[in-house]
Amino acid sequence: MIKIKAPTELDTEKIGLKVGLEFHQQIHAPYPGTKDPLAQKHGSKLFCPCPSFIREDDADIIVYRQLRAVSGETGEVDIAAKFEQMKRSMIKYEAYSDTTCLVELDEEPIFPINKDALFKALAISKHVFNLTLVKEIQVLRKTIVDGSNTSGFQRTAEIAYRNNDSYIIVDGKKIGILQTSLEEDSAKNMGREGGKRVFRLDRLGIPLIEIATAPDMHTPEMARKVAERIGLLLRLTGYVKRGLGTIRQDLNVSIAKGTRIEIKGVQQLDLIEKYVKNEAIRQQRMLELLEYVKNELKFNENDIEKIVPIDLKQVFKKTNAKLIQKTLKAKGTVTGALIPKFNGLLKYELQPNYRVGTEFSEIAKVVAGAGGILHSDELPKYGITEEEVSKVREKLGISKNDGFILLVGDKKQGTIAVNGIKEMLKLWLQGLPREVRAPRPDGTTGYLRPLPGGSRMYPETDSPPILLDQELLEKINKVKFDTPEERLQRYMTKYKLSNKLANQMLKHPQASFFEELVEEYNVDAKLAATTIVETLVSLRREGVDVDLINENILKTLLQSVSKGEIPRDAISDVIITYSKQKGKRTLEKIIEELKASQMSDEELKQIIREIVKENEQMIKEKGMRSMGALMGKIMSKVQGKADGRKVSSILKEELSNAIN
Amino acid sequence: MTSKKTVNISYTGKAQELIRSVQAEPGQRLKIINKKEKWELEGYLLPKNEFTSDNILLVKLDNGYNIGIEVTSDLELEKIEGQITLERFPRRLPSQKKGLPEISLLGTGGTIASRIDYVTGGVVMALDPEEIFFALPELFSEISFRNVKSLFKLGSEDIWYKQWQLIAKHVTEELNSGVNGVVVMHGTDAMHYSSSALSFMLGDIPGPVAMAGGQRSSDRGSFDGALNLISASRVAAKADLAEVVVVMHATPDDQSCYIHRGTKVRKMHTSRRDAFKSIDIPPLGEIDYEGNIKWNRIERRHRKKSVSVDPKTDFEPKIALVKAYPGSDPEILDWFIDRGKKGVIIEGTGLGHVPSFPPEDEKERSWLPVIKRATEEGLFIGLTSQTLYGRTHPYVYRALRFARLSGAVHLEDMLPETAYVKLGWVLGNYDNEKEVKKIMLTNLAGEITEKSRFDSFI
Repeated sequence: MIKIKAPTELDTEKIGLKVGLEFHQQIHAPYPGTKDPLAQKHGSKLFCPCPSFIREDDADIIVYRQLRAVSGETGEVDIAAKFEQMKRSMIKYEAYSDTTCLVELDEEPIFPINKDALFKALAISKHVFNLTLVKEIQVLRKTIVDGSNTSGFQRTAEIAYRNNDSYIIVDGKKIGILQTSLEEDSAKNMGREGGKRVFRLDRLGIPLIEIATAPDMHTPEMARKVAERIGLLLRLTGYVKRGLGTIRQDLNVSIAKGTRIEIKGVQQLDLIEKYVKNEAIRQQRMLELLEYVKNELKFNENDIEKIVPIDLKQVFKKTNAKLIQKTLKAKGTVTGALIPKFNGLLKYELQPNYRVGTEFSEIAKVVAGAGGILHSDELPKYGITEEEVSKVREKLGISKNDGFILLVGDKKQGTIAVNGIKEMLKLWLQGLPREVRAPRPDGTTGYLRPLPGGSRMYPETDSPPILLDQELLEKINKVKFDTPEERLQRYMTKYKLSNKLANQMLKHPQASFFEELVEEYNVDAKLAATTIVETLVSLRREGVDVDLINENILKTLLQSVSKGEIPRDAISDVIITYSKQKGKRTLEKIIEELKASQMSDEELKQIIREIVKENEQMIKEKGMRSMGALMGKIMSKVQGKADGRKVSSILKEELSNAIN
Repeated sequence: MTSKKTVNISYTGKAQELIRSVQAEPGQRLKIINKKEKWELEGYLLPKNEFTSDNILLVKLDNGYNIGIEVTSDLELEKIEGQITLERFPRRLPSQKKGLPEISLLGTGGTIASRIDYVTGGVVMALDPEEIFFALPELFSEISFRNVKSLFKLGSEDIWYKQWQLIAKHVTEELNSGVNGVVVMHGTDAMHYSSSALSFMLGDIPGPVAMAGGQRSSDRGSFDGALNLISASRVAAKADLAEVVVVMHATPDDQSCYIHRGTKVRKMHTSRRDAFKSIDIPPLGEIDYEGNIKWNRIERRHRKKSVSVDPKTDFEPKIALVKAYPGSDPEILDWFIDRGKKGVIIEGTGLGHVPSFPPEDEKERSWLPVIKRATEEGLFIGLTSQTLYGRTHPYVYRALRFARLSGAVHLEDMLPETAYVKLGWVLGNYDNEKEVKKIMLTNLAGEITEKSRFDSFI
């Protein structure tokens, strides 16, 4: 018998783990000559002057489109494109009259490439990764018909390729860099509305540099470290956008006996380790499962042909299961299908806490937009009774080795989902399929689509090839980026941070925000650094929702402290107050109130004098050494209504007066 | 069927020498080495394209990207195993199924028949209709295609009366052979000229002639021509209609197409899917992506099987369309007269004005004398408006009255392009000056409306 539970650890060396990264980073580059202040602030898109501005408010333009699979340059319809065609449905796009244009809506040919973005991406390729720059750059159309691009393709150009010196060093190991490309970001996936997929066009077209590494990482930890290093190197250039969603990684993971799997769009660096580990486990587990079902159970093509969608509405006519009741009422149904020989295997774990049944659910979701599946290994449950289960078994003609799946919802969706799972099982019979997987928040990955072949790229005819001329090359050659060491030095000498704080700040994703606070908003460097790397982190640990504290909020708060309007020690309290009220009260208001409650210098002096008087005895004995004790007393009395530094300087004055 | 022409742009100079030295042809897999710069690559040699600079080798890498590599004295090539063939497009032959409504389809070129050309790197018209069918599998379950012909492959602005005559001849053949309707695939820029021409040339027809095009090329997933072509085919096959119509996206959504009357439609945007608008009337109807048609409350000609097409395709090419605007030189009309033109349509301002009464010292700017000369020499001078919407009027202002007195004819609410095409057709089929004027002012194919509708402005 086969082990149902997946291991949680693995011997990476033994299984021959290989990981390569595709690191995507948005570039900040206003379209040359643009007068749009939003574009100047946020940068522009790659092929139009629209600002790279992500919005929270509702869109004022709604457009519905359908995409079709088309043949590529070599005349073959790509397997991934065909797969998307299978799911054909209307796609809803949301856009904004003032910050998106006809280019994003695929209603107009593109503008010439954003030269500033091109320059920055080239400079990064040359100076950060030592790549050879492509002499004549060709923009290509990469066929993508999942709806994330209105055109049905993503515009992308390889701008640099590897030579013998193209690598970075992480933990003393050389990690090869294969190439960089400059491409447009896709539209933001906003989920589904009914059967429709919804995308928002504010993100579509933002310039991205993609850095592809060689598969030189052999442990999950190394994969994370390389990603962190690349992130740091990119931040040091000052050419990139920052904040959540401006970086995304694709992880290419394989084990010796497995195959290359792409995990697409990982945003959190700290989860990389988990994704890599779980994917290695999954490949291992899939191989074991496939061997078992093929060799032991003799599962074959004929078995797969028995998988057919059957309407089970009759069985559940009088059910007490809430979900099914609701669905039947809404004219939906329960679609069932037998999975021959899979009894007990639907709960087989492919990844920790991720079963074959979960994989089928994910397939049903992406293929048919179905809500998920129920399977024989978990039933009776969810209000479905033993009796109903046996009726299902009877209706599907199940023998004791067979399993079954149920799809609750739209009948058409159910049929498409069952057929999708059937197709997938056919692929499984041929071995571990090459596929793209989506990261799930728990560190596992779910099925997304087949891995596209190479036949999906062809020239973007609306953009002529771009020859790197002498002028551009000279401009690139003149660029010099700080090394991490140089930047660390600057943090320590110019900003007077301690070695530890400087190091922490340098590696923090908000390092460039920190620099902006200091250079442009005159915030005290130490205050800014401590708040970012210490205060926020410890508040998060205490359970405060610090995600609400965006850059603007932090800027206002720290400026206010630096100007002496509110005390330094009040920062935590302000953040807690703000988070608790979930922005109902604006930060400005909280600061105003705090300011109003601050003691005047006169009031403060009064209190300090009183305390000095009360402690005459101690002062006589200890002199200036009584400072510490007195500070404590005063601070507990003023309770956040005065800044510690101010208290200290007044106290010092009063003390020396008293002593003299 | 026309054969495909491929233009071979060869590599030149140092690039050519290098390629020749290893006897490589485009499509050949190569190892490319630059020892000085310490790199080597593998990929397939691509044909040079028009925009590629000299001394650049175009290569397709295994990751699918194309890059241009500079040929220097440090570059070495090595021929290695492997080859790709380009320019292969799947074809799907139209099916002929019994029991399904039957139509024929004529290809004439345009974006809808365009695809990427690897030689020029641009979009060219090269697709045969069969190649487009590949993207539209859903058509075959509901419609049977009797004939699919590619008449020529021209951009719509290069199509003129001889091509209109050819299209009309083929449409006639098809309709008279008993198909339910005919679809004409056409470039969009000047499609409204062709739809007008066919409207006049074909006269009475038994079923619809549905013209469709694309604003996005067929190589992309967002190919709008797909819905236009599907909808046009459905209109041709099933709609209760007997007119020449243009079937194009109703909105930027892939949800429905408008069915526009061929003489009252105009391309009003350079690039949007919904570029075509009916002017001064609502579209005849709207067909959604599932094929349901909603007709608007407007007179239309209904299907009539018994009608046999008897086209009048003669056309007088000596005609012109000019725009009158502040500062326009009326001598242009003298030039046309001297060139032997038989008629000119003027796109005037507002209600149909031409500059008429400039200040005393700038008298030469008035168009009245030369209009007078033209009409006296037997030319037909028609006045339309560059406002496009609304009707011209010969009496409201003094200038209008004088234009009329000079012999110009205000052409009601006819679109300038429609008027231009109609003039060529009328002059080609009628000699008598009076008759020409009368027919120009007679509504033949919906080009002139009886009264102006309130609901049909922008």
